[in-house]
Amino acid sequence: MSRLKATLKATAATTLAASLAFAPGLAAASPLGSDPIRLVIPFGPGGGSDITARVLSATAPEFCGPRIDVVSMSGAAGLEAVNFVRNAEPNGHTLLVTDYGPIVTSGFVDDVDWSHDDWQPVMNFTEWLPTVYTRPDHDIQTIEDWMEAAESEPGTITFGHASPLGIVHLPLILLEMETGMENVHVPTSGGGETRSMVMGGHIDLGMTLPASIASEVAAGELTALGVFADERSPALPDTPTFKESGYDVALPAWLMIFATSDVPSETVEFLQDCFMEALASPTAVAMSDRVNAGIEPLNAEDSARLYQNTVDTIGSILREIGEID
Amino acid sequence: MIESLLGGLYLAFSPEVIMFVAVGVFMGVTLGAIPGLSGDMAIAILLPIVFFLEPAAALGLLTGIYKGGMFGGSISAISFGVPGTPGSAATAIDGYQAKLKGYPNKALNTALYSSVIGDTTSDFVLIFLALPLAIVALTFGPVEFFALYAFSLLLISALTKGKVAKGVAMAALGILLAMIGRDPIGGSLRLTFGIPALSGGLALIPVLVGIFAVSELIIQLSRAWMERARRIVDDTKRQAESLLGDYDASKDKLTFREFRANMKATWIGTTMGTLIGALPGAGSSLAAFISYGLAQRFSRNRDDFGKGSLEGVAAAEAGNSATSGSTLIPLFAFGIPGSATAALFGAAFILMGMTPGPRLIYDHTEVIYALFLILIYANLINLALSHFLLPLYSKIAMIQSRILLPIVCVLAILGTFAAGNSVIDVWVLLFAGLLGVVLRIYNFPLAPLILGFIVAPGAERALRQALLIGRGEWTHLLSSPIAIGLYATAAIMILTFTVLMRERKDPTPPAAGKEGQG
Amino acid sequence: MNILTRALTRTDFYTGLVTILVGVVGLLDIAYGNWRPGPGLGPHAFPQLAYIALICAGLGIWVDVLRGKSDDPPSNLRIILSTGIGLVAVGMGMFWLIGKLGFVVSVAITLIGASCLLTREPLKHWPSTILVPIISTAVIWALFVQLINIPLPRALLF
Repeated sequence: MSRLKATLKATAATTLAASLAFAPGLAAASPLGSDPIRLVIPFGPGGGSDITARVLSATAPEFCGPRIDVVSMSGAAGLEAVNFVRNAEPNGHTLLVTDYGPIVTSGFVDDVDWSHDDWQPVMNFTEWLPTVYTRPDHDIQTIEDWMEAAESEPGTITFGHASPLGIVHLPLILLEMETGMENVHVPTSGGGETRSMVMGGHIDLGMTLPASIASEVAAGELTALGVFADERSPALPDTPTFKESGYDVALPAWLMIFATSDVPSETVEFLQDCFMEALASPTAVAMSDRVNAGIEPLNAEDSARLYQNTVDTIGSILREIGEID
Repeated sequence: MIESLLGGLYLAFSPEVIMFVAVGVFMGVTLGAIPGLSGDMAIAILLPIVFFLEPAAALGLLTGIYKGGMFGGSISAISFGVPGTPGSAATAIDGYQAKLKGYPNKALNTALYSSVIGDTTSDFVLIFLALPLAIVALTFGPVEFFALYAFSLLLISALTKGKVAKGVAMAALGILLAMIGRDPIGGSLRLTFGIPALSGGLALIPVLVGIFAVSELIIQLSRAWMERARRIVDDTKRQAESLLGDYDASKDKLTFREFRANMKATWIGTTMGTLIGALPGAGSSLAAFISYGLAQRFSRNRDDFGKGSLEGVAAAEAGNSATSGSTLIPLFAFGIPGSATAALFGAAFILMGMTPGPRLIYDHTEVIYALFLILIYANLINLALSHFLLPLYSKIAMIQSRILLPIVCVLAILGTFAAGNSVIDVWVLLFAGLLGVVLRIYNFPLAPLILGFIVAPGAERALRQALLIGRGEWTHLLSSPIAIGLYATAAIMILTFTVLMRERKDPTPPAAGKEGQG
Repeated sequence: MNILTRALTRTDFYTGLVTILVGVVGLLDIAYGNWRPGPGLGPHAFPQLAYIALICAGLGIWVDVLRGKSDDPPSNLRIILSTGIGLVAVGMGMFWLIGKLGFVVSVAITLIGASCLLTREPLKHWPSTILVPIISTAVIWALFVQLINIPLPRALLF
């Protein structure tokens, strides 16, 4: 069994080593050479991370030099992507684009051979704000309605979220920890299933990210109850935050680009600069608006702070619910 | 209204768009014919160009790939017994037998016509009935889905006539293989034997291509090896020789009478495919297997199924292709992607600045009308182009196996790798192939295994969700008329089945008893 | 008694036995193994159902054997099995080789090697054992490296 693992690692490592060893000369301004940069996403194609990463891959080559490919590797619940980047040559050509699930949460609960310190953020694309929503003809229409209903009949409200301990489940756990309320947690296969169960009247509430419900909320086909963030979401300007209602619960899900910590700091700095420059270009801004990605880039330093905070928060939640010691 | 329709017409029939559709169909048929590669993957790869093409051209290209891929999978399913895409696994059951019996061309043409009929019908349903059907799709919650999955598991008995015990064993094995990885409800790991690589579970493509395709390839390779060693006098060789010797291309043409005889199976497949495709998450391979099972039930020549029945090919392929239009229904009606393909089309819409959902058609009327027109006429292009390509591809199938087999093997391995960019998938593929060979040697039927593998994750999730929502009350499972209707249909079908079996004095009475226990 | 001893000579007696054993071992694992409880029946419910179905199916196979219904494995069993193991080895070997020598060289070596193994006088039939694999490699390279751009090392030579 361990041989299989070793073979896998060897394959991945040699794969990259061989492809990079023959880079024909370095491009003038770039420390990267002309071999393509791979943005590896630990999810299937077509989702929010894929679409956001493609904005970068379409605009950044002009600023960074080499071509940029988005590679989707959803195997082993995303851990295959993480391991692929981890075992790649540390030269900045293989980067991980992920939310905190496969890197922070997995780093705690899964049997992995890396720690959170083995990663350094290159930049952050955006912060997704988990949002609770329901159908407009449901009794619960505000955060207050929800709290009252949960108090009068604890443990009866059915709440759909994607996979357990994911980015749209942990905020609910955090809220229940803060308030002591109880809901029936109904895991689903993802945002699509949650939404059809909410719309079809099979469950009471669901959680998702603003971009996927913004137009329905504007058209009055769904009601957004509240956002787990310090500030309101630009996509849902009329939806209050939980903080406004007096519950200090915020757990935004960022989408960050990571390099392994052994990538030289000049390379990371170069990548950060050219990515930020690319995303500030008019083409990228127009694309980001068109796909509703809400890209607001953060530099490496701020991203690192955000990353560290998330590691602390998620760690304390997981300790509290007994997932880790 | 008229104006936007004309605008849509103008967009859809511009030479550029027609060309992109044709290129897409060609790519789809070719890639679909390679085991492991499917239309979905080609769409995923081509997503970035959506940024740079006109919406109608981009949608034309993607539609063409999708439709071509739907049919392309059946080419290798019939020619080599190796399904090119997950949806064509059911086509392989009878299609490959038909080829061995010396009428590959009839089977390929049956597959093409039923694929196009199913696809076109499904597109019309999408265009005219999207909203009513979408509301039906929303009434499917965990309770109804569990009933649907239970119904499909019961249909397994239809697929395993005469080998009920081994069929049940294979369904159970399929369920167990699907359980490997993370429990979708509780999140804990199970049956991974301590291998971290298995924590994400086994993916569908490597398991399916491995069990069906690699095992078939191994058996054919061993035959090629024995031929080389000149040691064989076994009947398969003689069969192959007689096939080439007596093969009379002029006799191997689909007659109109045969075509008409397959119509019932085609319509069963079309209906089931359209309905199942409209349900989020059910999938084309499930639709194909259910159509196959039902067509066998209702066929006058039931005993030919599994032995090269053209009806079997027609039902499976119609069921597979008829999901293609209806799988977009939840996407258009609610912005909910019902399948991997629908998710990719949704992403394409988003990349073009169009939000999937009910307002799509009001906000971008011309493009959507154009897409509807493209969906229809892409079928005609698919029909015409495939007609032209089929003789070419079936010639490839006649190349000597010692040359062809290694290439097909390498393509299957690389295609499976490319589908998930995963080395683990390649190991799963190879070991699934080995498992498939062992099971074939001991005469276990493979279809129930795949059906169990496809159905189990959904069935488990639906059952446990239903029990969570119903606070652990089992009666909650009977709280929906749709669910009760599905259980009742299943019960009636099993009753008729047993009665029919009695009448025909078929010596397999343990069927009913086993159903009760399992 | 006679019927029972004859059953012992049937292949399907043993396939049934293996089926039952897998089910029993699985149920023992659920009973005594390390399974975490989970919401809504728990993670073990469906595997448990599958193991029970396996045991029932195994007993069903035995019943069929006693009634004289048993399938026989093909006579060339050993050749088929060794081909299977060979294919797994070649597949793994090709991936290992891709890591060492790159995509094009490994695919070409695999194809040429396999065609030569399957052909009686490989050198005499060089167009089909050497030329065709090289052309196929070129097509495969165009498809997977140029079009799809899979994340594998490209090639040593070009």
